[in-house]
Amino acid sequence: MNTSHKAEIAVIGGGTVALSVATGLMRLGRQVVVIDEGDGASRASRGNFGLVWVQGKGDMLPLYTPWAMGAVEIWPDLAEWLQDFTGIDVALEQPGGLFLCRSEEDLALRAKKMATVAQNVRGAYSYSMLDNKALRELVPQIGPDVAGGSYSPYDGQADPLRLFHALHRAFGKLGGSYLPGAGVKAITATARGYRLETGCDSIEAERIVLAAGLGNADLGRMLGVDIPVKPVRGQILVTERVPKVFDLVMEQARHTPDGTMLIGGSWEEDSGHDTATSQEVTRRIASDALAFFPFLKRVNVLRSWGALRIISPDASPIYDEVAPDAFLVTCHSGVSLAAVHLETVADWVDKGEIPAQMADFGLRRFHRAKAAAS
Amino acid sequence: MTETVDVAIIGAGPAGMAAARDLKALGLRVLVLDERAGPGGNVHASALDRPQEAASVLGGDYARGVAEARGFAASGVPARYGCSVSRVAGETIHYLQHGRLHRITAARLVLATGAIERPVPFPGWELPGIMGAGAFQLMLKQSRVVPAGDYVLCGTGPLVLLMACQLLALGSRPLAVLDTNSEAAPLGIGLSHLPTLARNAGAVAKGLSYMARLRLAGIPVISGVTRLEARGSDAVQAIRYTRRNGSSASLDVRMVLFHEGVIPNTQLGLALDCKHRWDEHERCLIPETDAYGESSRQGTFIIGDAAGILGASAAPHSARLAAMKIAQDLGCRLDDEAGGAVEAARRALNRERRFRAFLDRAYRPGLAFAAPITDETMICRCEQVTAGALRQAVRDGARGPAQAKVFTRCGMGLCQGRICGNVVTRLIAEETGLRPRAVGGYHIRFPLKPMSLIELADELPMEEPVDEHIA
Ligand SMILES: Cc1cc2nc3c(=O)[nH]c(=O)nc-3n(C[C@H](O)[C@H](O)[C@H](O)COP(=O)(O)OP(=O)(O)OC[C@H]3O[C@@H](n4cnc5c(N)ncnc54)[C@H](O)[C@@H]3O)c2cc1C
Ligand SMILES: Cc1cc2nc3c(=O)[nH]c(=O)nc-3n(C[C@H](O)[C@H](O)[C@H](O)COP(=O)(O)OP(=O)(O)OC[C@H]3O[C@@H](n4cnc5c(N)ncnc54)[C@H](O)[C@@H]3O)c2cc1C
Repeated sequence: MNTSHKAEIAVIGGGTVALSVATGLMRLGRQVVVIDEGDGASRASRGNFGLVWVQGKGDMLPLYTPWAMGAVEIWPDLAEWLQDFTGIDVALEQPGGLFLCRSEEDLALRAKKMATVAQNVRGAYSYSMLDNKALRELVPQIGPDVAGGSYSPYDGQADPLRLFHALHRAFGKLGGSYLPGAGVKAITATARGYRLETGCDSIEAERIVLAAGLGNADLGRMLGVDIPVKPVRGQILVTERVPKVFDLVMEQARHTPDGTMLIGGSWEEDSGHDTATSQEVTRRIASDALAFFPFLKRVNVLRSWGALRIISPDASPIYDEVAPDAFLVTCHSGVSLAAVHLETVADWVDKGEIPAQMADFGLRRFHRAKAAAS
Repeated sequence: MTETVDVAIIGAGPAGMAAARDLKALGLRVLVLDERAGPGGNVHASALDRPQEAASVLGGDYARGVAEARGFAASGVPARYGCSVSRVAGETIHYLQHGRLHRITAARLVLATGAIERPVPFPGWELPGIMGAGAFQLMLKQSRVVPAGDYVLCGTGPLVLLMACQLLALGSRPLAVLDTNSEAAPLGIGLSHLPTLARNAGAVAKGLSYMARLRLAGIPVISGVTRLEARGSDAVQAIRYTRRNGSSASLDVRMVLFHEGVIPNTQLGLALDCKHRWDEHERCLIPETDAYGESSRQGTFIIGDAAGILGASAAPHSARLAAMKIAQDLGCRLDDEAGGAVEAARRALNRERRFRAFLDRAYRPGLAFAAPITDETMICRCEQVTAGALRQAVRDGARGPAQAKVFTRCGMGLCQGRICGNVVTRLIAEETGLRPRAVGGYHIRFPLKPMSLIELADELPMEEPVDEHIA
């Protein structure tokens, strides 16, 4: 049975990125359909750490730093709107964040990365590198053998699952239509836009948004465009409920609003599309966690999982009109950037004209890099 | 160096014990792991700490089980207790014993992880004082506790009646037995099963004798109960029941023991991505296995109740089929008798299946299968998620357990969806109009049971795992 649908804009993908853009477009009065895969699909949106983060972003693409700073600046408006409109509290907190380094070697690497970012930024960018003593003045529970870390005042967290839920609810409440199940299998250009086929549904739309995370690589092939995103697995542990002991958010551990703690993570470039966890990696994460926070020794881990990051060659977002009226929106930090995806990015798709601060996030930069390399 | 065996068997219930014995007799190196303190599994829990004569208070079946577990412990089949499997990766099995991680590798893996009581959400079922009759029976077997204060037994099936009799024998009297069987005339069904009945006359007679004993003792057995609702602020104070004829009444109680049968314990098989299918008849996920019990994960066999509920007496037969196939796979030379043994096991298993089909039709879980789930009913007790919240998640776009889970936290707690999994599948199917098969189940992840960070980090000095041969 094949059902036909018509919409002004079809957003392909059902993760945080797709729902952010789709909800933004609904707020602009557009008529939007979201096409997603089924319940078992791999979704970074269901497995991420929930940082609303700036520090470290932009070492490979300087433009990324102000973009991320702009995003966290307007995040509180998003949180407030979602609370009012959907009744869901996404638990945004922006108390500042730490990146912990267990060894002196890691600390030196971190210092270098942060210096590169700071150097490239035009305008104010504040951060500091901390040794063990300075770290423990900020967070006394940190272990004595931790070399140090970096601190940034811009950082924070939100509950990524509540965000994901709230975006879905908001989109539905605004009258958006959601078509989960099979995912887009074919794209054809028509006189008035595009026709998308899922095998169950056929959707005609004037504009399409490619926001399918790792699925964008396939969607690109359907349009004859090379979209260079690849999976990098991260494994995460979640603990039983523990009393909240620190306010700062850390890239290696954070309290959730439900009382559990998330402990991460790994960066596995050779994972392919496999979301399994492994004994080695979970063991290493647990071992680091104990060095960072010795008080967690007896705390129980309830679950571990693996999720796939969507990584471009410079680990920065890609925004580009890859074919007439076909807009590509993909990034690694979909939680951190959610607020700008609802605002600036939705606006771009709506008007079709890319604003200056987004102009250099296009695919061209990779072609340039390739050309320079050869 | 990692210890290596030919076959690792998870679970030392009737199925696991039988498989281990068969495999050892065929000359293979086996190791049994069980999280309990000794062999016996669910039916014969803590069989070894009980003198034989005390066991007989709990009935002849239990006494026989105790003898079997003793025999197993004395047989010298390698087994380790207090061992909880935390992860299986390829041929490596990681398990925790006394807070330490150990691992073994095994060419074949046998899951004999048994059953869990069918979780049946009704309003108030999360209140303290309400527990599975089976779970309570384990305590009864372990320490002979009887309920303090007034209590009722509710549910359907032989276990409820058996327990009422066991409690009577220990001098404890339930206020009533509330029978939720939705099959109005079980004996009517029996007629079409006459041949099966005749062959299992003993088991049927047992059921009738339980009824007679209860009647004699003056315990009311209230039939045709279609709804239950527990009330109380901090703990259960009353249980309200509605009968098929529309009448309802309430009893003041301190405890409610509930049981509507058991379903396979699928957690490990699901974590290993073994294929499962939704069984329309039992309304739960069941692993797909071939005639020898091999799952879709090559080299992993699932036997006993873990593969589908057939009961303790069927367990050795499914164990034998798997053992023979494994022995053949691993190159054992089987004699002429082996073929006959396989045939005999298959015939016996089929007999058990027919009897189970009869039991399943005679005792329909009325509450689980026929009572509507109200919005206020708690579905996930760990995270306090109601049916209403799940239905809202479906309206917000969830079409399956994975998305419903991240929208609501349903299944994210201590039990990791062990209890609510099948109910969630059913509820989402009802709400979306999709078939349960299409809705699917939770994605189960390691570690299988909670473990502390220090255990997971595995930084304590090595110690040898402990083999226990309890004599
Ligand atoms: C371990 C880990 C930790 C992370 N931590 C953070 C963090 O702390 N902070 C942060 O900001 N970000 C973090 N992220 C990144 C963040 O999770 C993602 O950026 C965010 O979830 C957005 O993902 P997405 O929507 O692009 O993709 P996904 O969530 O992967 O969704 C892609 C969607 O597209 C669908 N799809 C694919 N192909 C098709 C098709 N052909 N047709 C239709 N639909 C299709 C999929 O089914 C899926 O619904 C982390 C990611 C990982 C993996
Ligand atoms: C609470 C309860 C009470 C029951 N009472 C009766 C009764 O009175 N009479 C009757 O005939 N039947 C009863 N049954 C049914 C009976 O248990 C089964 O028919 C029979 O035990 C099947 O044997 P089995 O070997 O398949 O499983 P079980 O006897 O259940 O054995 C499974 C074993 O696997 C172990 N195990 C499970 N997961 C792991 C893991 N991850 N790591 C290590 N070990 C693990 C368990 O500890 C258990 O010992 C009961 C079932 C339950 C759940």
